[in-house]
Amino acid sequence: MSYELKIALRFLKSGKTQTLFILLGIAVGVAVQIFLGSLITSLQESLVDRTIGNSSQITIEAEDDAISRILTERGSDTTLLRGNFSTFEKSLNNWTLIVDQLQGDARITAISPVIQGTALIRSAGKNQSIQVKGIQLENADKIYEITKRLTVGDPVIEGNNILIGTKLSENLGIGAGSVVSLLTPKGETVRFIVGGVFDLENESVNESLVFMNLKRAQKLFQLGSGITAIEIQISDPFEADVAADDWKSMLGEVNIDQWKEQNQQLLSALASQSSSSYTIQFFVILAVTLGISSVLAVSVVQKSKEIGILKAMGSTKTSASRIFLLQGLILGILGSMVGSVLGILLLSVYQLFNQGNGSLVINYKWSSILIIGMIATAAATFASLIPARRSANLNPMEAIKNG
Amino acid sequence: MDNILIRGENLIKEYGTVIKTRALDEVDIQLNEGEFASIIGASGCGKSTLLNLLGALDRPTAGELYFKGKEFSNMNEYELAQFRNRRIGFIFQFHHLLPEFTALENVLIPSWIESGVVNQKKQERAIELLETVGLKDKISNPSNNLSGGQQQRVSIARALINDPDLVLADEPTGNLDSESTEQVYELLRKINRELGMAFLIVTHDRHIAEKSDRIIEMKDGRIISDT
Repeated sequence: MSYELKIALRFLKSGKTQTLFILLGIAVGVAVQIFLGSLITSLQESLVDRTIGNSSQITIEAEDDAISRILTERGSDTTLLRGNFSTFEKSLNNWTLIVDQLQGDARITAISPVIQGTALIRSAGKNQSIQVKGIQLENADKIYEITKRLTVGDPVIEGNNILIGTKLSENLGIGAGSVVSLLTPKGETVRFIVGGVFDLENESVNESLVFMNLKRAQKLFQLGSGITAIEIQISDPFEADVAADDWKSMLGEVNIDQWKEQNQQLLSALASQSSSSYTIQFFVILAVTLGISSVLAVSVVQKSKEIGILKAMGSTKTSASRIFLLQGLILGILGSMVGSVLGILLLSVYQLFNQGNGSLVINYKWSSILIIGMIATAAATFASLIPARRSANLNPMEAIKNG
Repeated sequence: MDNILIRGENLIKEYGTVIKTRALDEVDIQLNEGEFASIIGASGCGKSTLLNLLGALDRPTAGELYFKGKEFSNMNEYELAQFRNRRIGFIFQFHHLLPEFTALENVLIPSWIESGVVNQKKQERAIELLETVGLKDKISNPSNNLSGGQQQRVSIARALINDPDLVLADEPTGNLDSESTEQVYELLRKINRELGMAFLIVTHDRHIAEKSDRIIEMKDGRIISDT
């Protein structure tokens, strides 16, 4: 052990109350940071999860045909009849190739080819317009977790079985085993059997979405072997734009939509939330740093005689400053450790009292606790710089002379 | 007997930048190895200033300082710190022990400074020295748990731990009662006899100064007698 460290430790030990208060100050600062950071991160994660957790993050569709393109790109001055607009989404015929090409991408956690179309559902004299989604159950399950969210019936969509939402089931007074008629835009009426009822925790989805087998949907909408879209989820949703760009250049003639583009408002809300959190964290660190700095500055004055005698006995300037830098470092490390425990405790207590209302689960990451601790330790060491310099420049004669 | 240990030539020390006060006015001094000398004079006569210059705690405004023939008034701060640590032992009026440490640790601190790390290499020597100053049974006492006289004796042991060539003492008995004063002087003489290092003691007490081999008397920044 260097003798500077030994002296630093003794100085800290001798000023017990002072050390305790400064430690508490750092600890509270660190705890607030951990609490606030974890709270904001968890809140954002849950918000993002609610928004896109059970939906397609990246959707690949066929490029628009000429008529649609003109209609969407040109303004109202274009005199084209709305009747020219295709009622069906254009089919993606080479989709198996695309799926094969994307299969190798490690970012992808779910890839699900779908057919989307509209129809009218009819039961016991009541009509309601619905969104039909033809899926391969096992792939779509990775995105929508249909199997897990089934309230009634079985997760089966073979043959003429379909799955409907809870709201639709209520509205039409139908349930598992009911027979319903679907009226397609082309005027065809087909009978289906309700295999199960799901609850995707979204009112409008529960009211209008109907799942059926992909092949059955291809037949219903007369798409041959084509599909209308490929829905994809990736491991880090915030990478969606990058992945979409990559695939656009790889696949060429397709349309790729991703959630970030469609949720600009949410993203900017998240960003401003983050920056306000960072601002608070910055000022907490600043306050802690100033606190440490002033306490250590007082300590230099208190210990000036001791430093003077050490210098008279041959301590160098470097050693004299190191004694105070080490004190800052030790305070930072100990304060961060105590603060981490305090922060985790605070989170658990918060969790305990907020168990009932809302289902927000606050997660803390060890990596972010480590980073916060390291920043606090660095700040504490930085705070000791000025006191350390004063200690280094202390004139031993002046310090000793005054008795 | 003419082994010159430390020598100052034409030493001038001025304080202040605007109004200059001359604390030392062209002082020449030399001290032989193993000599036991004292400096007396009224307060403000420059005796402490001279001691600080000889101990490399301060630099002269003009003049040269030599230690065993080698000039040290032009050394850098790091070299001076090392010089103080190895060659000089300091004893101050207000003992200045570190209250956070025990008597033994206080004695060991200069040896820690010398090696840079806390070690027990000189532990035996430190205990020996504490025995010499009569504090063998107090070695693990916290230093602020000792009486004034005891503290001063710990600081004498501390001054000796690195086997210096010269011990500088600034009013070492300034705040001790007459009995402790007597004991401390007997002790310093004994160490001088047994260990052979030179002593230079600043005092304003002529009675005490008369016990040394040589008395240097100062007045107004000059040496007025040296016997």
